[in-house]
Amino acid sequence: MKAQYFFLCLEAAIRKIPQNLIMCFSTLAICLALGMVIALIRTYRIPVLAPLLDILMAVTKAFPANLILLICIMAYTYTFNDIVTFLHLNITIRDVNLIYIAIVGLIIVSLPGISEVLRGGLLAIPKGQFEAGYSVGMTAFQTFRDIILPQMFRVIIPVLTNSILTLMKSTALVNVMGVSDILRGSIEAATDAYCYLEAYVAAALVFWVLGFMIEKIGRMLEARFNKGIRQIS
Amino acid sequence: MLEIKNIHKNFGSLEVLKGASIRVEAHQVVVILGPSGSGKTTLLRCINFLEHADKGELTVGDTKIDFETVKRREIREVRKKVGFVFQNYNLFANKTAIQNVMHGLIVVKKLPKAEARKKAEEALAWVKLSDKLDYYPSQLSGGQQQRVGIARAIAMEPDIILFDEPTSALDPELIGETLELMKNVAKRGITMLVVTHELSFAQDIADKVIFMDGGVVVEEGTPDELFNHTKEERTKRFLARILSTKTIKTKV
Ligand SMILES: Nc1ncnc2c1ncn2[C@@H]1O[C@H](COP(=O)(O)OP(=O)(O)OP(=O)(O)O)[C@@H](O)[C@H]1O
Ligand SMILES: [Mg+2]
Repeated sequence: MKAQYFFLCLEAAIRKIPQNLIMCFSTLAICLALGMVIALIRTYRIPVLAPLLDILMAVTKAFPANLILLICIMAYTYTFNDIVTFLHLNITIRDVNLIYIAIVGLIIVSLPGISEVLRGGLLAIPKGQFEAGYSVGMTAFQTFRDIILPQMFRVIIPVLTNSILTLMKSTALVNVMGVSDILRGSIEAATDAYCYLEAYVAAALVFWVLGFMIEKIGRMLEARFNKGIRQIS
Repeated sequence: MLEIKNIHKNFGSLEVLKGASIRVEAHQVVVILGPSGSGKTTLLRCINFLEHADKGELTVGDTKIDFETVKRREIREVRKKVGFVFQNYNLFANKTAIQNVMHGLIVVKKLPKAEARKKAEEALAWVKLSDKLDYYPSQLSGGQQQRVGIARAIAMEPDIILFDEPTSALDPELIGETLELMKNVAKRGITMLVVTHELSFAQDIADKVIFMDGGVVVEEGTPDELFNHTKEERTKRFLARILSTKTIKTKV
């Protein structure tokens, strides 16, 4: 290991941090929204949709993450021209930033886990909390938004922190799609000097710091949400 | 004020309510008695649609509803007119005492925040909890939680408040103060429909006592009629059983 090469790679890796953060947190936001809808449909057994989603989630869960990403990018390149023609758009495949495809892939990778975490949270809230809302005349939506959702988040934060960590690590897989990220940035910096060990260690260091920060923020939120409220054990 | 006609409710193959009918006039306190499993809780829950009855008619104030064809809008209308005090309190766990009382005022009654807060403070002062406004339910005793529950119901100014065994989850020494508070609710002229096993409460406060068994009303009348001039054999047996397990002070 040469320090000089290491710092070269580290700098390249750090430059790409925003790329991974964007991928991680936009995927997270979409997964939380979609995952909540899926969790509600599955918990309240909405006809047709619930069994369909059961199967879809079970199947998706079984695929390795990098395989899903590969299928996404392949499906995208194979169908790009058809889609463009269908939508009457005047763009070529080079005009589209591949990060969007990466995010779609990461959503497919993370959605089953995150929706399962949300379902667990929903099931942990006693039925009486809904009934209390209804009894003062609140609608189902108002009760969900003001009473259930905040309590759910308190319950799931520890597990969700873990999901976010896993998601952050998955963002390093997008280089199989040719999308740039921390790992790829670091490797690219290494090609000239052929200093791959330095590159990998630099990327590892950056992911460790990011993971550490996610964990810290999770702990902080946990403490905040728990303020004054009984722990569900 | 409140009238239920011929209500039916099944849980799967279990027939819980088999055509009970109940009438509560404005400003009355009506107590429902009955053995465990007779459908008292189910009856109350059907009134504000926490449970959906299969058949029957419900009238609350000037809203008349057929259980079979009830619409979402009608359910909300009824829930705004009917308050509910739960056996296990069911306070919003993520909200403080004052927020528990305020929230419905803001979200349902659309009061400005300052006004809602003032009303909530008044309601909590009335249940003697002014010193606990910012406590979360988990930091309050059972009796205090139930008082917040009562304040929350009262603050919404419903036409009628339903109480489902409000004291049965409480420690014996807290039952007295909660019953006392309920007597004060009655004195305010609030219409009440109360399920309880506290015969002394029924005797002192009720305008009418209803005895339910097996999903129907077996007997009803004034406390004096029901307790001292009992007509039905089933009622007599039930009262004898309760009196043998509880020592109550009889004023009559
Ligand atoms: N959600 C439910 N699903 C199935 N059966 C139910 C449900 N709720 C109540 N029951 C049944 O309905 C019957 C009446 O219950 P209910 O709670 O109304 O009785 P209760 O008169 O309030 O009794 P208690 O005095 O013990 O509170 C019981 O046999 C009970 O097992
Ligand atoms: Mg009951």
